[in-house]
This record gives sequence, C-alpha cells and structure tokens, in this order.
Amino acid sequence: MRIRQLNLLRYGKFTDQVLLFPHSSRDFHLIVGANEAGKSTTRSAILDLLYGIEARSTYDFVHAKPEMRLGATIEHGGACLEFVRAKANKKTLLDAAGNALPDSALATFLSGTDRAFFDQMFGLDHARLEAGGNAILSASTDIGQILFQSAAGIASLGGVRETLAAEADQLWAPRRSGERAYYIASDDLARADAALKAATVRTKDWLEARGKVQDLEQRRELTRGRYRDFEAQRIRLERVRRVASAVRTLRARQAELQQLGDVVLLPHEAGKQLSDTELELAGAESDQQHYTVEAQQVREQLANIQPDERLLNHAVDIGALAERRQQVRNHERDVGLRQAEIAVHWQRVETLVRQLGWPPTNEAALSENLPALPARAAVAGAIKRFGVIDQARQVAIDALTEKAAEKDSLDAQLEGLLIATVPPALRAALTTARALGDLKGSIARDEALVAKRMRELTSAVAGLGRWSLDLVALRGLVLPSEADVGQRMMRHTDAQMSRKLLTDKHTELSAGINAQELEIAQYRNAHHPVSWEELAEVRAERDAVWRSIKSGDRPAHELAARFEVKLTFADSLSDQRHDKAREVSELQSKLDALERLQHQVAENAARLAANDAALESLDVDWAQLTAEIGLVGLPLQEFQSWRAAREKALAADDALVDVQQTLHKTQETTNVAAIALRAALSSASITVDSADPLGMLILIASDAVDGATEAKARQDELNKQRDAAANTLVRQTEKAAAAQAQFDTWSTQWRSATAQLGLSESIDVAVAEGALTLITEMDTKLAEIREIRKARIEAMQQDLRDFAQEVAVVVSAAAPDLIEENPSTAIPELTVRLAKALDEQKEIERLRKDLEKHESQATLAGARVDRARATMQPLLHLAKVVSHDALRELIARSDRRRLVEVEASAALKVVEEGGDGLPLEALEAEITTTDPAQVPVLMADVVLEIEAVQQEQDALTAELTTATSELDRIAGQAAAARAESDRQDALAKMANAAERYIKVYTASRLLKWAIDRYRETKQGPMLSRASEIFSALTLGSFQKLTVDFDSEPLSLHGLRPDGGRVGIAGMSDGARDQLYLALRLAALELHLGQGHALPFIADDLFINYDDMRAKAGLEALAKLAERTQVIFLSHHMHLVPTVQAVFGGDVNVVAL
Amino acid sequence: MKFIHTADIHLDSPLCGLASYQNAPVDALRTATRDAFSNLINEAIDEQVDFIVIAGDLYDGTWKDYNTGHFFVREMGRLNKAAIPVYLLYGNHDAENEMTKRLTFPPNVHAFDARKPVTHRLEALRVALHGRSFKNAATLENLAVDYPDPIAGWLNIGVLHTALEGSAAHARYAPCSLAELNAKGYDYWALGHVHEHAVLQRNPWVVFPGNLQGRHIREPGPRGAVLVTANDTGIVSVDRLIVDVMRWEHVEVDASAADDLPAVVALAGRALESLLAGIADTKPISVRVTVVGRTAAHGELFGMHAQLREEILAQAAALGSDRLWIEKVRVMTTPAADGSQITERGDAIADLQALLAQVPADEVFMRSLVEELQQLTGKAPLALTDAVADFKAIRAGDVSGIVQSVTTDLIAQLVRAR
Repeated sequence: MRIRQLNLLRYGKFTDQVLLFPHSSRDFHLIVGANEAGKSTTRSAILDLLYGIEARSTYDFVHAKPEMRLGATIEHGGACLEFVRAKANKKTLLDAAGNALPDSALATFLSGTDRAFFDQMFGLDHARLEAGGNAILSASTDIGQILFQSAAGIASLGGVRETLAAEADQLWAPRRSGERAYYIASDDLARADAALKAATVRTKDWLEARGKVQDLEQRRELTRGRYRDFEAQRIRLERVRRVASAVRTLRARQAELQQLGDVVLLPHEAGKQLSDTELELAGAESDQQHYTVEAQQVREQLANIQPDERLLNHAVDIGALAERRQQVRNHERDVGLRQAEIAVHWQRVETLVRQLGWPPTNEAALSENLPALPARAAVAGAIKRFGVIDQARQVAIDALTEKAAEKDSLDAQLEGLLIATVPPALRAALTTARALGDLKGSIARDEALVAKRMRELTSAVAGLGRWSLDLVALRGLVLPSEADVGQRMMRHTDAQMSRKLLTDKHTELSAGINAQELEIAQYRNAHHPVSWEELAEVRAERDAVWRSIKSGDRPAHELAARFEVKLTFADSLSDQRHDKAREVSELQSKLDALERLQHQVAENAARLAANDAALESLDVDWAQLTAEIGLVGLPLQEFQSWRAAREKALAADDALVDVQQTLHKTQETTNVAAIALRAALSSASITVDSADPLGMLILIASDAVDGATEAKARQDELNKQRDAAANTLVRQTEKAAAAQAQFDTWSTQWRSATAQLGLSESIDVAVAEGALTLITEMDTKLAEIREIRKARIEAMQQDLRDFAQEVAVVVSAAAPDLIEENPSTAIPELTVRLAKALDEQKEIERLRKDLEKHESQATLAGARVDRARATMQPLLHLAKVVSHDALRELIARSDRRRLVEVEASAALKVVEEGGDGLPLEALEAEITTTDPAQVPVLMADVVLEIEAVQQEQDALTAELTTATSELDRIAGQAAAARAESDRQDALAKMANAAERYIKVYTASRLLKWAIDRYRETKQGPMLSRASEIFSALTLGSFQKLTVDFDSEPLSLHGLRPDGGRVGIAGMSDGARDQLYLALRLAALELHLGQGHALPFIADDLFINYDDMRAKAGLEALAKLAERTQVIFLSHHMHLVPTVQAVFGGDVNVVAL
Repeated sequence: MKFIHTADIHLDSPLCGLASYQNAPVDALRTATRDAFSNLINEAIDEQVDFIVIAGDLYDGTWKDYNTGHFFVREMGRLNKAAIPVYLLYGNHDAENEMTKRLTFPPNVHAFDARKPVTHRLEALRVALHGRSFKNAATLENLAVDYPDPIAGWLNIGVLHTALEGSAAHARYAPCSLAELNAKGYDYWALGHVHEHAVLQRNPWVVFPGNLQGRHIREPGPRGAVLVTANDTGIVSVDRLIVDVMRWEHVEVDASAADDLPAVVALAGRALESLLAGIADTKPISVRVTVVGRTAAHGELFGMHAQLREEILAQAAALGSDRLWIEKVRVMTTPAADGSQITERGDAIADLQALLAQVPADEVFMRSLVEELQQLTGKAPLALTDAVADFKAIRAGDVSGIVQSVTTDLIAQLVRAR
C-alpha cells in the first residue's frame, strides 16, 4: 500500500493542507520543515488516517475532536481509494462525498495490520534507533535475541525473557528455598499438618480416655471398700484398748458396793473435819496450860526487883555533870602550858632588844617605848626606792663608757685600712678574655673530632677496595651516569634471565624429544604400523625384482619365487598399512610432534647462542669503560656499591677539612687574648710569668680587680659605723647626768627618816633594813604574849570554878553519902549507880509485858477448846453417837462407799465415752474375744494396711484426675478445624504458585527455544543483507558482520577491513545505532518479501550523521524505496541536496 | 407447628481455595461451618420450632477430630434445654465417619436406624417422621422403597439422604425417583445430599435445603436450611433460613473493551462494586474474579498476572477489606489478534509464531519440558492434583495443551512488547 495524497483537513495546526506523494521508481519522499512545522503531526496523522483518530488525541487544539478530519488517496495493487477519516465512535470512514464507508473499507489496503504493528514495523525515529542500539548491546551475548528484537522492533525482548525466568524462579525451582512462594507455602502446610495432627482427637483417643477414667473410678471404689474394712478393724481394736480396763473396774466396784450394804452417808469432808477438830482441841488445851504457868513465873520475878528512886529522879542532872566533867578535865594542865609559851616569847623579845643594842627592860616599858608605825614605814619606803634609783644611775654610766670605747676602736680601724687602685685597661682586657668562653675545652673537643674524622676517612677509603685511588684522583674521576649503569645492568640481567629460560627450555625440549622418541619406539613396538616409506621401500624392492624379470637379466623362474615373496610381502605390508592406517596416522602425528620438538630445540639453541653473544658483548663493553676510567676489573654488578663507597670517602674527607679549620681558628683567638691580658697586668704593675697560659692570666687579673673592689667597700662601711657611734655617745652622756640628780634627792630623804627611827644618819641601807625587821618582830611577839594571857589562861580558870559548884548541888540531893568525895570521884560513882537503877526499871517493864501476853494467850486457848468441841456436835448428832471414836468408824464406812461409787462412775464414763455406743455386754464380749496382749500388735498391722491402702487410693485419685483432665480436654474445641483451615490456605497458595509456575516456566522455555530457532532460520539471509547495509552505513569502516560460532551462545561481530573483529560491546554508540538500523532495514526488506508492504515512515533518523554517513543512510533507504513507499521527515534543510544527490533532482521534497 | 429441615452440615469441613493475604478476613472464616451451624441452632431456639430434621451428612466422612462430635453434642444440648427434639438421619459421610457410632447424644436427639426404616411419632403434634440412615457410605440401593406407609390423619414426613435420580455434582447414593416419593403418600420429603437448595415439588413437598455453608467457589450464593410451617391442612410454607457466615461469588469481568492492564483493573473494580451493591447483608464474600473476552490486554494480563492480582486486591481493599476476599483472579481472555492475524503480519513475531507451532513436534524439547515440569508435580502433595488443572496432564506426560495455551499467551505478550 502507498499513500498518493495526504489531506490534513482539520488536524492539529493544519487546515486543508495537502501533501502529495507522486509515484516514482524509488518511492522516496522527503518532508522537511523547521521545528514546530508539523512533522510529528504529519507522522501521527498517517497513523490516525489508517487506523482511526485516537480517542484521547491531543491534536484537537485548533479543531475540536468532532471536527477533526484527515483525508487521503491510497493505492494498493492497482486499486485506489479516496477517503476521509473522521473523529467519531463509529462510522469514521467517509468517501469523498461524505458518505460513510464500511469499517472494512481499508482492509484490503492494510491487510489486517493494527496500529501498533504498523507503528512498530514501519515507523522508525532517532529515539527508537538509540533504544534499539542499547538493546542489542544488552543482548550482545545472544545473537538470536539481537536478530529477533531488531527484526520485530522490540527493544524489551530481553526484559520479557528475564521477567519470565525471574518470576518462574521466584515461584518454584527444584532446589528448595525460603524465598520461593511455593516453598514458603509448603512450609506453612507442614506446620499446619503438624498442628492438625496435634489437635486432632480421634474417636479411639476419646474412647480410650473415657475407658481409662471409668476403669480408674472402679478401681478407686474397690480400694475405698478395703480401706473401710481396715478402718473398722482399727476402730474395734482401738475401742478394746480404750475400754477393757474400765469395764473390768466397773464390774468390781459394783460387787463391792453390794457387799458394803447400808451405810450412813456422812458428808465427804466428815473424816477430815473430825481429824481437824481433834487436832485443834489437843493444841488448844496444851496452849492454855502452858500460858497459865508462864504468867505465874513472871509475877514471881516482878516481886523481887526494887530500883533507887532518888537517882532515877536526878538522872538528867547526873548525865549533864558527866558531860561537863569531860569539858573541864584538861583545863588545869592547859593553864600551865600557856604560861610556859609566854615565857618563850619574852625570851625572844629580850634577844631582839640586845641585838638592837637597847638596854634591858620589862614588858611594859618596852611596849611603851617601841617606835611608832609611821616612822618605820618612812624608812621602809626609802629602802624600797633605793634599788631602782641606784641601778638606773649605774646603767647610764656603764653605757656611756662602752660607746666611747667603740668609737675609739672604729677610729683605729679606719686609720689602719689600705686602699689599692686598678687601671681600666686591665678590667677591659679581662672582660675580653672572659667573653671568649671555654677556649681550652673547645680546642680539646675539636682535636677529638679531627681524630674521629680521620678514622672515618681511613675507613671510607678502605671501602673502595682494590680500586682505591688518592683522594684528589678519586674526586677527579668522571664516572658513567646511574641511568647508563642501570640500563647496562638491566640488559645484563635480562640477558642472564633469558639465558636461564632458554637453557631450561632446552632441557625441557630435550626431555620432550627423549620422551617422544621413547613413545614412538614403544608405539612402533606395540602397533607395528607401516609407514609409507617402508611400504615404498618394499614395493621398490618388488618392482626391482620385477624389472629384473622383465628385463630378462635373469631367468624368470629364478626370480619368480623371490618376486612372489616380495610381492606377497609388499601386499601384506600394504594390507597391514591399510589395516593400520589409524596407527600409521597416529605414528605420523607422533613423528611430526618429534620433528616439531627437534625444530624447537634447534631454534632454541640458536636463540641461546645469540643471547650468549649479547651477554659477552655487554661484558667487553663494560671492561673497556672501566679500563678507561682507571678502574680495571671493577665488575658491573659492584659498580653502584663502589660509587656509593666513593661518595662516602669524599664526604669523610670534606668533613675532616671542616673540623681542622675550626680547630685552627680557636687556637689563634686564644693567643691574641693572652697577649693583651699580659700587657694590661704589666701596666698595673702585677708581675706574671711569661709562660703563664691564658687561663692563669685570667685568674691573676681577676684576683687584682676583685681585691681592689672589696677594700673600697670595707672603708665605706667603717665610716658609716663610726658616725653612728659618735651620735650615740652624746645621748648617753645626758642620760647619766639625770640619773645622778635623782639619787641625790633620795639621800636627803633617807637621812631624815633614819633619824626619826633613832638610827644613825650614816647608817647603811642594808643595816637600816635589818634594824627595821627586828623592831617589827619585837612588836609582833609582845602582841602575842598579851593575847595568850587574856584569851586562854583566864578563861579556863573561871570554868573550873563553876563546875565545882554544880557538883556539890547534885550530890547532896541524889547521894548524900558522896558529899565529901572529889567531883572526879563522885561523878563516876553517881553514873554507875544511876545505870544500875535504870536497868532494873527496864526489866520490870519487860516482865510486865510478858505477863500480860501470857494471860491473854491462856484466855484465847480456852476459847478455842470450847469452839472445837462445839464444831463436832452436828456430826455426832447425825451419826447418832457421842464419842469421837464411834464417829470415826462410821466416817470410814461412809468414805469407802463414796469412793467405790466414784470409781464405778468413772469406769462407766470411760466405757460410755470409749465404747462407741455399744452396750456393756457387747463390749464385754469384744474384750473377752480379744487377747489384750495382742492388741498393740494387731493395731500396728492394721495401721500399716491402712497406710498402704491410702497410698494406693491417692495414686488412683491422681491418675483419675489426670485421666479426667485428659477427657475434659476433649470439649469440642476448634483447634483442628483451624489447623485444617490453615492447611487449605497453604494448599491454595501452593496451587496458585504451581499454576503460575507452569505457565511462566513453559513460556520462558518456549521463548528461548523459539529465539534459537529464529536465529537458525534467519541468521543467514538477514545477516547477509545487514552486512552490506552496515558496511555502507559505516563507510567501509566495517567490512561485514560475522558470527563467532565458537562462543556459546553465538555472538555477533563487525569485521574490520584489516581482518580485526569488533564485538558489539566494543563498538561505538554510533556504530551500534548503525548496526541496529542495518538489521532493521534488512529485516524490513525480508518482511517485504513475504508480507504486505506499507509506507515506511522515517523521522529524522540521521540527526547525528555527517553528510557522508547521511548519504550512505539515504542510499540504504533508496533500496527500501524500491520496494515500498518511504516517507522521510526531517528538519534539516541541508539534507535536501544530499537527498537529491542520491535520488536525483526530481525527488519529491515536501516543505511544511 | 413449624420445624427446621436441614442437611449437609459438614461440620468443620474447611473452606477451600482461599489463599490468605494481608488484610484478608482470615480468622472470621476458619470455623465457618461451625458458626453457620450455631446460627441455625440460635434460629431454632429463637423461633421456638417444634423439632429439627437433619437429613444426613453431619460431618465430613474423612474428618477425624472427635471435638467436632463433641461440638455437635454441645449444640444439641442447647436444643435439649430449649425442649426441641432433633431427628437425625445419617448420610454417606456420617456412615463413613468413625465418630457416628460413638457419640452419646442428649435425650432430645433421636437417630434413625440404619438397619431398617423407622417411624418417630410426635404424638402431641400428630407428626410421623419416617426414615432410614445409611449403614455404609456406598449405599446405592433405593432406600425409599421400604419406607413405611403414612399414618392416616397425621403429618407424614419422609427423611431421606439421596441423590434422587442423579446429580452431576454428587455421588449417586440411595437413588429413587420423584414418582416413587410421591407414591409414598407423605406430606413432606426432607431430603439431603445435594448441596444446592431446591424445592423439587410441592404437594407433596420434596425439598433439598442445600448445605449450611458454601465451602468453595463451586458452592456459591446464600446457604442455609428451610423453615417449614404446617397446620391441620398440611404444609403451609417452606422458607429458606440463611445461616451461612461467608458467601462465595463469581465476578466476571469482560475485558473486551480494555486495552491494557489498568483498564482491566478498573473494570474489575467496577464489577466488585456492583457485586457489593447487589448484596444486602454484610457477610464477608469470597470472590473469584474471572477476566474474560477478546482483548488487546491479553498478553499484558498474562505477563503481569501477579500485578493484576495485586491491583484487584487493592480494588477490593478500597471497597471494604473486611468484607471482600479475592479467592482467585483467573484470566480467561483471548488475544485480540488470533493466530491467522499474526501470520498475516509477516513480521518477526509471525515468524516466531510459526516456529512455536512446531514445538509439539520437537520431541526432545517436549520430553525435556515434561521432565522439568514433572519435578514440580512429583514433589507436590496429592491435594494439589485437584487444585491445579495442569497437574494431571503433566503427570500423564502430555504437555501439548499447556504449550499451546502458553504459546498463545506468549505471542500476545510479545505483540504488546515495545
């Protein structure tokens, strides 16, 4: 089909625009227009024209959708149709008159193609070209895919294949994986299966569970019955044990009561009452008799005691006198002692009078004439002040004397001080010399360094070995450069390595030859192959014999047998060769291999010889070089280390020279300084030895300068001290005069006071102080004598007199017989007598109290007797007896009856309480049938049985609880139903995965299979044509396309004119795009050979092409245009001449 | 007087074919058959029915868990408390199930004998129930023949588990004809076995109540029992009592007009929306979406099946994830261009199609494909054989059908590739 005319009636920006595409031998049409001119609109218009205007068309910006119209005249196989395409839901095809055409009106022209197919197969633009180029890059390892996607115009075939494969892999694969949907669900299924199994309770399980519960319940009931039996036994034995004794007691007491018969029942305390009363009665009667006798005895004692009443009446006075006597008893002795004390004091006063030189006197006169206290105080005050005033005067005088002596001493020192002077030149010379520092030390260090450097130099020179030269010559050597030596060494090493490699290879090849020869020999022995040469040789022998026969040299019969042998042998050998053709071939290949090896050995030997020659040349060259520079025999390998040793030696020499220069300079400086200092010392008149070194000179100069400085400082200090002493001396003289005046005033006052005391005016202060002390003591002693006499002696004498009078009064009243006695005798006697009377009086009081008590006790005892007798009367009355003895007997009978009754009652109670309600007879029967001695044994047995049964019962209860719980657990839960639901969920997922897997896996396999077949069928014709186009498009840069049949999968290559192959990955982007275009055009041409032709719409395909390539592209399209219409859209006006050059000047160019 | 007629309860039978996904209402549906049965018992108690007739298949025959029986007994206990008697007839599944003989029921449950037909008389109501349980699962004789004569003046109900004269979907157990049933002179035939609700006849009534809960996509629509009302004149009405807890529905999406996958998804969304709009109650619905029609999107739907499913799930979620469960998205479309149209193109794809047509003849390829696919089927559990249609063919070594179908899909996919 071709378009003859396209009418852009109302479409996009166009209104009634007509594009004409006249037929020509090459149906090529160029539509050119600047950007926005409507090229894209035209391309879209062709699609919409043929397949209907799209529902969501965007070309309605000028003409509304209902108004949109396209028209055309199209041709196919001689038929022609003029029609209009409208935008509508149906009836979109109209004829020229505006009548609707059937939808199938274009079917003949379009041959069932759809819009997508047309666009994909017959449309190509720059973007698709690029996408196609990229797609064949990504598919570069699969030629089938490249061919198919280029032919189909599908860039995403690889994506489709990968997506199918990837989806299949995610769903299922033979290898189990937690990532695959099927296996994820399969795991869920396994879990759900397990859950279902765990949750399912089968009917059998339930029956078992229920049966178990029933069985256990039955067994537990039986055990309970046994338990009850044992418990009954235990209770009976327990009862027997409990009541046996009581039953027997009860029966005995009942018999005894019967034996006792009638008994007056007395109160149960009657016996006690009787015995208590009799005891009380006996006690009371005894007490009554005892107290009556005692009272009588006391009354008799009282009658025998008569105390002295007079004494008792003066008992207080007598006591007072005794006390008073104690107070005055020592008074007479004390008076004597006090008088002796007064005599001693007076003797001391008399001594003091004598010491003062006063005349002897008596106490009264002395007291009268003793100096008064004020006079004594005046003298004492003067004595006290004397010490201070005298000391002040003495201190002032001493200070004055000392300071005068100090001043004299300082004057003397100043006079004796010697002051020397030092000239400034000496100081300057000394300063300069000191500033030079420790020159001696520097020199010593430098000398040591020189020695060290010399050793280093010697060592470095030794490092040069036998190629040692003197230093000047060494320094003057011109050595080859490091690069030169490095290169020589590299060449040498390479040559040596090559030698080793070649030698190794030689060894290896020789071994290979030996092995190959051995193999050939062995092969020959094993297979005896016949070589062509051997056969030829035998045949030659045969032929020779034959020739001999033929020539008639010798008779035929002679040679016939030989010929026959030769013939047979040759035939046999020929047969053998024929039979052993494979072995011969094999042998030949081995021989060939041997020959190759031998050839290689020879070649290797030649290379080894060449290498050795090069090596030798290198050595000779080096020897010549070393000889030229005077280092004969220095090996190349050692040259670099020798060069380093030379550098080291030269550096050591440089270092030695440096240090020697430093030492020399230091020595010079030392000498100059010594000369200057020696001259300065001479000018200061200090004598020095001319041999003294600089250090000694500095010492001498330092002493001189330091001595002068010290003397001057001493003089200044002494002057300062002497001036201070002169000032102090003046102040001390004034202080001494003031002290003397104070002392004179005191002397006047002293004399006046001593005169008042009656002492000499010239008396010494110390003497006057002693006299004053004696007078004061004398005054004190006299005062003490007066005090003793008055306060002590006279008071005691008065007490003695008062006492004698009081004694006389008391004695005359209380004991007149003692009136004559001395108070000291009378008073003790009175005291003794009074004490006796008081004792007697006390005894009477005590006896009276006793009497009263005894009488009272006797009365009380009598009352108790009466009371006891009265108490017993009711009992006697009740017992109807009068005597206590009769009563006692009755009480005993009563008590016995009561006791028996109590015991019987107690026994009955025990029987009732412990008899579990059984009648006495029944109990007696039980007891009778049970041996009491056996009861504990039987009990122990029964208890053990009970414990065993209880344990059994407990175990059964526990089992029953578990079994019941197991049974209860089957309660209609839905766990199994839920697990089954989960199973179905998992199965559904597995089914979905499997279902989908089958589809996508099959699709993936089919696609691969089909692409492989596609390649097989299309590869030849398509690549052949594509090769031509590609070569043209690349202007011969690639000669053709080839397939690498050795690669898997097969791969596509471009072949360069020089035979070089370039894979797709190695091509430039432009070359790849050109390859895609070539493949597309080739596929299109093939398609046109078997399918329906439609116009090919190319939209700016050659944007990035230069003119030459664009021309090549157009030429490729020209071929296509011979088979179908080609409409080429471009915005490059400059393409027009190229188009005209390719298609001729009359090519159809439509300008928009 | 009113009673409930139910059958085919299949307690704890699972819902099949539901692959869970995020937000699918999984938990609500794991005990669906139980919940449906509980709903029925609630209805019976609320309605104060006079009795309940169960016409067989209480359990699944192969279901082992005794808890299911226990659950049934418990529910019967609820009816016992409410003084509602139950007349229980065992069907083929019950006969197969080992639980049947072991369960001990409350006194209100009366089972029909399996050895001979029996009549249960409800004196107070003047109702006679005639029936015979299955003794064996494979009961292929006509049981109805021996049912007793009706009691004159009483309401006579025949209880029978039968496939009648045959049903495509159900085994032909206890066969009999409507004429035979009519001949018995009963007022009501309470049948069981066929899972679809059906009132086969009125006067006398012959009714299949259907099963209580649909368990897979082949049991779509509302499910439940029937509530039968009668008076002195006989049966007055038979009303459906819908008790299911989840519904199965088909949605067919015609993709003829759709050009690509998004358009198909949009159509599916609209189809789901109209499905929901058409269902009054709010029970969860499990939907099978089947995309049909001759469509240009066929290849894309094949290539992007997973995305199609995800997008339809998203549509369902948007409409109410708590109600909709997409059981499966099945693509049953055909390509817009058929084989001859592809051939006409004469391009590389046409070449490919021509090549692919030769695949079945490539024995080596076909054998290797079979072997490869048999690796999958060989390891798969048996339960998948029914679920995946292709398994049988693969196990039988014949994959030509699969190859043919996939070739069409593949070509359609390539046609749309760019």
